[in-house]
This record gives sequence, structure tokens and C-alpha cells, in this order.
Amino acid sequence: MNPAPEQPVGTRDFASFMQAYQDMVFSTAVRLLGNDHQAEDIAQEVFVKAYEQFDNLRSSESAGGWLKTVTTNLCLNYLSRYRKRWRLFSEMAGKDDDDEFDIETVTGVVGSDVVFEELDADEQHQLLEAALIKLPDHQRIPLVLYHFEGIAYDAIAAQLNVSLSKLKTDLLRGRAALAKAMQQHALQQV
Amino acid sequence: MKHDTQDQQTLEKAVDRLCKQQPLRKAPADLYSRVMREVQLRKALPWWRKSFLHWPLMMQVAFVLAALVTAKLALVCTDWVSSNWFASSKVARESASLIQGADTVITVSHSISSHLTEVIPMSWMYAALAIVAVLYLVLFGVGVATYKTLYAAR
Repeated sequence: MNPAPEQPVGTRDFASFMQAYQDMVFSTAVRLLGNDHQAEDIAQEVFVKAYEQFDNLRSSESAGGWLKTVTTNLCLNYLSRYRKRWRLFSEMAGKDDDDEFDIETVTGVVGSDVVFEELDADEQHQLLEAALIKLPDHQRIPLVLYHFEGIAYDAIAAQLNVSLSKLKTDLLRGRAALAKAMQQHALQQV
Repeated sequence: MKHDTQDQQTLEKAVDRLCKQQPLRKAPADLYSRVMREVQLRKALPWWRKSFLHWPLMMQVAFVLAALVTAKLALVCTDWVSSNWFASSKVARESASLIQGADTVITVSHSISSHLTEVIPMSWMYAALAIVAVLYLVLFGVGVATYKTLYAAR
């Protein structure tokens, strides 16, 4: 599970506040961005903002939710700025449309549940994180928002400014790519 | 078709279960010290380098007043220019001579360019154009290589 610490912060100081939430913030950032260094910068920025708002946050029941929202927004802003900067080359390299897996590929990974079960927890974790990083942004971001953060389809579509059908297709392809990468690795292990 | 939908649902459930089971990634050990260092750095910034909301109240008021005065001044200037400047015959004459001057510059540059096209062989022109195109492509290639090295291959 993804244990988001939701207990009231009460009178804890900022150091223990950070201790309680830093893994959650960093995990969200690193999964959305697919890059450890950028995620560290974003996590730092999130907690600087939290420090400025600490008088309100220290006694807030929804501090975890606030941190998640700020983290997600900062990551998406960062990605959108970065994407605009590199869009020309990105489109030339065909990176955004580089869907290695067609919808039909899903039928090839239906046994994924079984394959996932065969791996131990550490292996699953390592494989999943590695496979996530390799996904293109337009598949990884909705996948993380939907499966890790539990945000609804329509809210993700609105946040990413894409149609619901495109979002669902990206998610489908992202899941297939993820499962296929993990299956391939599992088969190599056998 | 129905089979495909079932497969998609199975995959969705499997991925969802897998993602929800994952532990959180460990944040770097020095995150707290990095945050505190950044907080201190930002505190040490002079007021005018912070966002407007963090400016002293007096400065905020002064800035708003200065902005209003500037806007009013701009409006007054525009009004004065339109009513006085162009109405003056001297200015009108100067404007006419300026237009004549611009016309002369265009005529001269046109005659120079037509003279150059007569003197310089067309093959040289094409060669120069080709070199510019090649240089542009090289620059573009360097850009793509930089993108692939720094971003795509991360």
C-alpha cells in the first residue's frame, strides 16, 4: 500500500512534519517526473512552500492532501515548461507518439496478473519503478495519477488538458507497456 | 471485442493492485537540510527580489500609486501628441521629408541589389544559399543530438 500519513500534525515542529511526509512527496514527484534529481528539486520546493504555510499546516488534518496537490501541480508545471522547451526536438524524434504497444498488445499481456504474482515484493518494486521511468511522459503521468494517486479519469483529463478518450488510450497503452516490460524481465529470470 | 474489453479490465485490475502495493520511495537523507538552507537563502533576499505579496506594505502602496501615475501620464501624453504634434505644419513637413528619405533609401537599396545580381554569377548565389542551408541543418542536427543526449536518453 501507499501509506499516506494522515494523522493530525498537531504541535509537531517542521522537522518531524517533514519526516512524516517527505517519502510521500518524493515518491509522487519521482514517479511523475521519472527522474530522481528533478524529483529532489520539486520535493525541496514543496517543503519550502510548506514552511511558508506551516502555521496553517501544522494543525491541519488535510496537510497530506495539500502536499500531494502542490507536488502534483509543481511536477506538471515543470513537465509542461520542459516539454514546451523541447517540443520541436521531441516531435522530430517522434518521442511523444512513440507508442510501442498497440491496443491489441493488451491481449498479449493478460497473464500479467499471474506474472506479477510470481515475483517477490522487492523484485516487483524494482521492476515497476524501472519500467515506469521508461514510459513516455504522456503514458507515465496519467498512469501515476490514476493508479498511484487514485485520481478519477475526468479530473486527470481536465488537469492534463486532454480528452477523456485520449487519456483512456494512453492509460491502456501505458499499462500494456508496463506489464510487457515486467513480463519480459520475468521471462529472462526464468 | 468482448474478449478485448475483459483483457483490458483484467490488466487494469492487475496494474492497479500492483501499484497500490508498492512502498513509498525513500526521500534523500539531506532533504531537510536542503529545505532549511533554501528557506534561509530566501529569507536573506532583499524585499525587492521577493514576490510582490512579500514586499513591505509601504512599498506595495507606493508601487500601485506609481503604476497609476504612469498609466495616467501615458494617457495624457498620447492625447497631447495626437492633438498638438500632428496638427503642427512644421512637424507635417518634417514627416513628409522623412517619408521622402525612406523612399530614397528603398530606391537606392533596390538599385544596389539589382546591380549585384548582374555582377555576381548566379552559381555563386546558389552556392551561398546551399552553404547557408547546410549550416542550418548542422545546427539543427546539433540541437537534436543535444536533445537525445540530455533528455531523450535519460
